[in-house]
Amino acid sequence: MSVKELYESFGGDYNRAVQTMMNDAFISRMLTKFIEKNSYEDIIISYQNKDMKGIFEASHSLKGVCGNLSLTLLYEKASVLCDKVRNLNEGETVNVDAEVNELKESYEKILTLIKSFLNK
Amino acid sequence: MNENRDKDFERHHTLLIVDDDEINGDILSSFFEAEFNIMRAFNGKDALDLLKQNNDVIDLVLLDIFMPVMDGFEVLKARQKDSDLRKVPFVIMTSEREIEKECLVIGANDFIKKPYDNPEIIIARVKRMIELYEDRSIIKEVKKDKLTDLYSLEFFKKFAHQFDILEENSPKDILSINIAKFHLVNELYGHHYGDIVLINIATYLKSYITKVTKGIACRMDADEFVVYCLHHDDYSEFIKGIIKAINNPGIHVHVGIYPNVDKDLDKDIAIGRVISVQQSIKEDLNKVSALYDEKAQNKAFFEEELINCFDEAIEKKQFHVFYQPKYSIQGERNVLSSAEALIRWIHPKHGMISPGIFIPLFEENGLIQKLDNYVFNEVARQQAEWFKKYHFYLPISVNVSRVDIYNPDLEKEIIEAVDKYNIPHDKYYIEITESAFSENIQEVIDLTVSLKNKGFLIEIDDFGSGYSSLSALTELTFDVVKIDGSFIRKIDRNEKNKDIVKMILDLCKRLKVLSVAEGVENEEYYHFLKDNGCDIIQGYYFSKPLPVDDFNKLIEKELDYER
Repeated sequence: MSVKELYESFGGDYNRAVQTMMNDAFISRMLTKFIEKNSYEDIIISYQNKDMKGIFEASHSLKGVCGNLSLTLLYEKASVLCDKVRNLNEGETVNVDAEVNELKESYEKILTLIKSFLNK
Repeated sequence: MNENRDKDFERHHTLLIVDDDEINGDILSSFFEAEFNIMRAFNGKDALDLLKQNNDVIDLVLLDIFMPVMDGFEVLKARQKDSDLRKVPFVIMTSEREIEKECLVIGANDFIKKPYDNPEIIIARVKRMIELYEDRSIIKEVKKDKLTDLYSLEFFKKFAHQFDILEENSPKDILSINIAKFHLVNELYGHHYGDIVLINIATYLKSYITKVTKGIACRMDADEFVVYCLHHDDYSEFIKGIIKAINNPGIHVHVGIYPNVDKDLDKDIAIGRVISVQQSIKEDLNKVSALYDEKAQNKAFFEEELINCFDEAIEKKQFHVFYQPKYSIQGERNVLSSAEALIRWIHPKHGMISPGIFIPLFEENGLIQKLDNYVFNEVARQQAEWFKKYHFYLPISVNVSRVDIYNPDLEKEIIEAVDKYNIPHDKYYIEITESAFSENIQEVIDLTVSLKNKGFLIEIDDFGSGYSSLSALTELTFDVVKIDGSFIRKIDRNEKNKDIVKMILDLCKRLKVLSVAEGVENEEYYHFLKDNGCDIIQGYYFSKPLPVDDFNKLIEKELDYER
């Protein structure tokens, strides 16, 4: 599987990825860092703590990374969650169960595909 | 400014990328690492620490906003309070429109949108931002002097123009302040002390132009300051303030003052003038200030111009010899007996220039010798012309400057001129002013005796105006006494003046020398002089000095009489 095929498999934008990161080798290195970093974990921890601000910061961060890596589907899921918890007042909470689950599902899928690619 | 910049741009520029996310930072670094040195920080605090340590190295900061420990907002706020940090441009990386606005308010210079979409555009924007800041730094450095924080001369002149507009109707002065022998101050007390002196003077000047008056100040040179301010009649307090600021009696200062500067006068010229007048006292440690005198300076410029024009004037015969007739008045009729040669300068630009202006000037710088020689030759040439035309030699008196008495070639030049045109020596009268006799008695005696022996006639000019003693008269050789015009003009005032003139006329009789009265302006003087035995009269009563063409008419009239 090529990097291009990998991106196609999880709804990523390979053309944009190459424009930003120039070559497959660099893209692969960044994807390696992505799975090592596990940005999603911060979202889960904040979600479990009902920490809206934490959810916002973590989802915002994930959104940024996914955007730069052109992981389009994951980027969109992270954006939805981020927008939902943006500008909440102190102590205010919203139900983000659906958004978190969708994000989790997408993240785990992408993670599996990237790991599989990198292990080859 | 941007021409060919890209070729050189990549050398020695450093970016600081501040992003807690390593991947974002890596991607951003990949855009620039071919052309820049890259530093990384993962939170705001680390970024500020790196900036403080590497302030002179980091050319631009790429700053994420949401970061642990210290976020981007706090970094920007800290930057606002730090003048060194403000010298470095900050570009914010964000996807949030609202954050852009907030960051602008607290000093962000530009934004890069996340996610990064076009590396080429991002690189170009970063480069342009660095160039812009570099240009601003250069301008800032030029704008103010680093040591004293006064304006540089170029910005001083720009602001002087604005000051003229703001205070349009107020007269203004330019002052220049210079530390005497500043290089010695540095040697004796050290450069650091010298810098302190300069800073103290600058501090005083800044205080003066804000608290005492309105104006602007600059450090023009190492130890030279210039102030442009509203006019004051008296700068003694200002000078005291400077001396107090220096606080060292061993260090002297000189102040030039140019009052009421014409606002339309080019500032470079105005500054040049005040510096010039200040430098005129630079060797005098007892003098602290000097005032620029526009009239005196204009006179000096004019005189310098005349000196510079002299050689050309000689070559192009701009010097014209005029002739004032002298009439013998003791006969039945007044007879044209001789004339005095008087030099005039017909300047192409300035018109007729009085000998009262250029004679003293040329006596001062030695050009008089060349001018006298010119006149010697010109008179002899004219006498030859008249002889050719009218068949007689009209005696002409030529003036020898009291300075030219010292010319060892004077006699030789006179003889050469006269003999060149075959003028009989006894038709060539040498007028020497009485003051020359009193100043250089032996030189004059030697000269006059020698010339007399060669057939020339000697006239004592301006008799009575000098301080020659009667005993000196006994030693001198002369043929004619020209009574100074100041005596003649006082004849009508009182009897005493008349008696003095009578006494001189009588003295001439007794010494068997001819008497000539100068400056005879009216009939009353004429009759008095005639009645008291004056031999010859020269003055406006008969004629003013005339150019050759007009003098010819006098000659022709005289010849008509004789026929």
